[in-house]
Amino acid sequence: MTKYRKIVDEILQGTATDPVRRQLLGPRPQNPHTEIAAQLPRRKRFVGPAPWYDVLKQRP
Amino acid sequence: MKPHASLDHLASAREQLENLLRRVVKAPNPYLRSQALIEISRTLVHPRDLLAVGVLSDHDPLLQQAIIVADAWEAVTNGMPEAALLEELDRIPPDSPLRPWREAVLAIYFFYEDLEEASRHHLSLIPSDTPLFHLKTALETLWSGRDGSGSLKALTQKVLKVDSRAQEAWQMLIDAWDTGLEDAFLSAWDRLANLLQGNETLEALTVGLWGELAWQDFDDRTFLELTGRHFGEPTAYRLAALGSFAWDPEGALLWWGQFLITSVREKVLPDTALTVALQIFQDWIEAVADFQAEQGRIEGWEKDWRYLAQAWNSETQHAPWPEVWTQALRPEKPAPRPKPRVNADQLELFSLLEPEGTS
Repeated sequence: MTKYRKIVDEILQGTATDPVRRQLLGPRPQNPHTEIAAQLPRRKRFVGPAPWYDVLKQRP
Repeated sequence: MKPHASLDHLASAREQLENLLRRVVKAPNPYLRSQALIEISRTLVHPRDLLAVGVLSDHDPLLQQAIIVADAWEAVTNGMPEAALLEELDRIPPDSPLRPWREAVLAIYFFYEDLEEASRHHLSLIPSDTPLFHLKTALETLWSGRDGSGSLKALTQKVLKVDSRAQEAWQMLIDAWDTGLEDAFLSAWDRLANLLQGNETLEALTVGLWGELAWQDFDDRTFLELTGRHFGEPTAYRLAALGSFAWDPEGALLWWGQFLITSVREKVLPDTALTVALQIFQDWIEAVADFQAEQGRIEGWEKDWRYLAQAWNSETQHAPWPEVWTQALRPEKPAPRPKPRVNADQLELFSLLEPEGTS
């Protein structure tokens, strides 16, 4: 899980050193629960159809 | 107290720890071993003591755990925690006598980060029959003196304190959240967003709310659409990906892909930023692969991933899905080729037929 934790830390702790990367991975969440949330059992995200159906549909 | 009384006490504690460790090492069965480990967790006053007594071999997992915890403890109490040290704490198994020390390290870390709920969560995992329980009492007292300054509400109110309308909208948001009323939540966020337009705090708050969605049974797409109307689609996807990565890395990866697609479509990212965003995408793919290696794949993952690839290729025909990304997909096994139907009686007549697998 090393790579997973590394990116979680880049988001939660702001550990990215490259300024552009830090900007893209920011702002740090104002959320005290996020670290705890990482310990929850995952769930299927999408209640409806996945959003890329919309992307395909919206193509000119 | 005589000057040597405390030294006697330390010597006695060390001797007790040595005896317990010998019981762990020489335990004839798992039950006796686990009993000795429980006893250690009740008496251990510092993980460094496990290193000092010299009973455990260099490769003993307990010794390795003691090194990890001792280093992390040193770092958080000196105010110099590093992500790698905290990451190592995941290697402490739940039944280890060092597990309470892991929780204490994280509780202190979150205390200094001003993240009250996370700190209290780890404090709550420290058993009452360990020496560390005194630390729990002390930290909880300190938290009560802080007046909840680490809570999401308090953080946001620091920004909102001058605007009573925003405060009111925020209160509506909190109430809707607490009661699980999705429509009221969306309405309150919309109102708050209109009041905070251009305020960077709104983005940070939105990432935080995406993190909180782990606890709610709301329709993520509705919130995504709402945030998209305020931030634009690319930023809405990016914030959703950031906020949910900790609890749903696969969904977050797909949304980072959506962020890339919409950014390319709307030409909102400079080339440098797009290059970095693509590197992040690649890193996320590897991170999700790590995650899936441990947790397994969520149902429907491959289908979702293929749809994303299809959408990407359709949108960016000049830059098709890079090879490294397609490698992250588990290729479906091609359907077995049908064997040629051959009349056994006439095999010799078909001797020129290619052997299977040569074409």
